[in-house]
Amino acid sequence: MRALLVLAGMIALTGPALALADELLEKGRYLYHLANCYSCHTDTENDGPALAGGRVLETEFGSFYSPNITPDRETGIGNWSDEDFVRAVREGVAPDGSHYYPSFPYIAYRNITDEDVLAIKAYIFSREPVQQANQAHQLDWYLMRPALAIWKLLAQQEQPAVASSNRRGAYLIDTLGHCNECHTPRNAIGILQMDRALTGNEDLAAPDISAGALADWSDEELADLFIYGALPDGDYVADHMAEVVEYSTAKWTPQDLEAAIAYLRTEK
Amino acid sequence: MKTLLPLIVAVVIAPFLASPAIADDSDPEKIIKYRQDFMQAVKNHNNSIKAIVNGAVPFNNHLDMHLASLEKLFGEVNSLFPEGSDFGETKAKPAVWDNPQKFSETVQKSQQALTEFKQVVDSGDMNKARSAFKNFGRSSCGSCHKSFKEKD
Repeated sequence: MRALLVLAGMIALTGPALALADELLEKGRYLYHLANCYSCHTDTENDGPALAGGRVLETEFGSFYSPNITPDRETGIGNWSDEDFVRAVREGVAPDGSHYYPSFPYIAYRNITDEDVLAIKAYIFSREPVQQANQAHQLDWYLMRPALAIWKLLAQQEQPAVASSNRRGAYLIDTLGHCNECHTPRNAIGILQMDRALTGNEDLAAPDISAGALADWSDEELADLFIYGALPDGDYVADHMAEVVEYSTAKWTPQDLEAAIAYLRTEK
Repeated sequence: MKTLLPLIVAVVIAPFLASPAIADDSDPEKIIKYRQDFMQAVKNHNNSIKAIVNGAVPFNNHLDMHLASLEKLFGEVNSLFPEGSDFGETKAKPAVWDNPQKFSETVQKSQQALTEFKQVVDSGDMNKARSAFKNFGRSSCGSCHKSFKEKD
């Protein structure tokens, strides 16, 4: 009888706790899609395991290899505390204090709320741990990590915090979606020129998606782009943008899709 | 001797006659240009289908023709990327040649998506066809471009 009572007590306690945990994971899963963690941290080209890193990002500064962010304790981020994770995502600083290269879009992510970063962490930590050692970046010799501290100071000054009446749209496009990373031109040292936000970056073949450039697009055409990857001329987006669509924008809720489109249509 | 002459001609002369033609056929730049025109044809059929299923034009009787054309075109996609046509003015990613198995699987999935779309069209429900068209585009053109085409 006592055992039954204890069991009943456990069920009564764990029931709501489990529901809360599920809610957190569900929220984290959605945010994880919005921030598109999967795309860069998975070697999709070689059918690599999810989030285990090793995906190459070719840039004019060299080749970056994304790290393993599965909860594996040895090769992934399984040992990270909440503080470690928040600092990495928002400030671009590793647990050992070293600076990350801005191939990781922490400049955009720095406006993610505490609650949201931790929900993403909870979701990532619920994924399968994969043992796979990280691969070193292959960069031009002058790109030393200590120089990154100065670069980050300059970059943060250049990019003001999000200020828009459409806060959700700005959060989706500028912060989580980190669209500026490819669609905004950069100066000689790779800092985003936010006074020309979203006007395109030729080096990356990323087109102008400013309000002016999208004036010819109907809302339905934009929705077809974000859900299906379809372009108005009958072509379909390729390469990185196709990944952005499949792993991120196609998962927007109808409300978020609407907010994102409305934000893209406002002059920045 | 008389009977042997044609054979000698065939064996000795023919390769010289044929070789310029082969070189011409395998000119990578020409293959790339042909491939782009071919894809343009795919795009045009696609656009025509889109206009019809969206009810923008009254050519429902053309649907079968466009679908049959796409079926034939899709069937030749694999052969459009011979070895050596991976440099020059092409947007095809090296993965086409580095990972031919994944490439042909992706092409096969496109054909499958086309078959499924065709079934919806054949059912005659234009509302269903309209939304099925979008899914078809995503899982054929879209999925192949994701892995095998560079951004413009």
